[in-house]
Amino acid sequence: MPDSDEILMRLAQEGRTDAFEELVRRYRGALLRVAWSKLGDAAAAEDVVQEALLAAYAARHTFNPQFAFRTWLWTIALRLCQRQWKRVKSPSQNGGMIEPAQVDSLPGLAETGLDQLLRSERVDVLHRALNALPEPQADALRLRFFGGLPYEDIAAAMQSSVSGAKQRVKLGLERLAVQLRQWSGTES
Amino acid sequence: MNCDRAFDLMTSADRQDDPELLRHLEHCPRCREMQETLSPALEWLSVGPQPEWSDLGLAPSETGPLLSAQAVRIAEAAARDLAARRALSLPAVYRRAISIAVVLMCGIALGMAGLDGNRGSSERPADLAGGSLSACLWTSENGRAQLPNSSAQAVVASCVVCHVPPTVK
Repeated sequence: MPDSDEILMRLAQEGRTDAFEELVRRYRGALLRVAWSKLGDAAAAEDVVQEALLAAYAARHTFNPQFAFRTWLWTIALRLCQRQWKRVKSPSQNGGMIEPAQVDSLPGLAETGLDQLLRSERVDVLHRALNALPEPQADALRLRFFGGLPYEDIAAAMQSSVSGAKQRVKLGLERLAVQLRQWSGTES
Repeated sequence: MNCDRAFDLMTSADRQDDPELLRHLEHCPRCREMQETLSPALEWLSVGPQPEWSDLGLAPSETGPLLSAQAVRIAEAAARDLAARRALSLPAVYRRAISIAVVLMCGIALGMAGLDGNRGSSERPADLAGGSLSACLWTSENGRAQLPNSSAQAVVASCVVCHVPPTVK
């Protein structure tokens, strides 16, 4: 049975870097998905996530392992993403579109060129629609759908109540649905 | 399953086909309507790209990442916030329990006061008129003798106490 996050964090606090590496393996993928969705740039997302993980390691002694590690890590990552987002302001220079090279290397898709183009276009529309939402709503949606976080963790990472987090997701989905209907209708 | 739980499943990337949710949607028009409203966005989010990043072979940009002191401060602040949030949430539970207890006690006290008031008004109607009157002056001639202040106002007050229903103000 794998160790819990809290056990791994205790070990990391005792100097076991392998324990922290296991935590990195557990969370890196989801963190990257959210960061990339927010920043619209793969390299920037990679930087932010790397920095979040490094910061968590550097500040590991300030963390109390009786609390949820993932909440802590998501809070750090989200704040760093927000900081980066404010720096850049323009969310993505390519409109959030995934790079063709990345689409080519998506595992197991076996898509034709046309499929890839359509997929890339959908991704582009989705990212632009998310970026057009109020930031708290878009962040809540990213954490929920790209990070796979339960509402309790979203609330903790965004410093809101659980019902507030749900409300953000609900409002975000409603707006997103309207935008996507409009945009996909316009662009088709 | 309640509607809140249904919303959780509805907005979960991998639980949208949960049989429990589907059963709930069959019987709950409100949630069904919400799902219909949200479904375009849910569909787009579910087909959104979720690559396994390590498979993409992406490398950090050439300029970074550098661990900044600000990032460490953010991590430390997040750790403090987490502890503070927990500390705040526990008293909130206690506060709520105390509030409920106070409201209940007030309700019981008011209820008992109401019962006493009703009993008192039937037994000692003139007390409320501000004197030592203990009986209706209309039906009890002795009461008139006990009237400390035979002003018209006192007499009217004693009548009102007895003969006007308590619900009328």
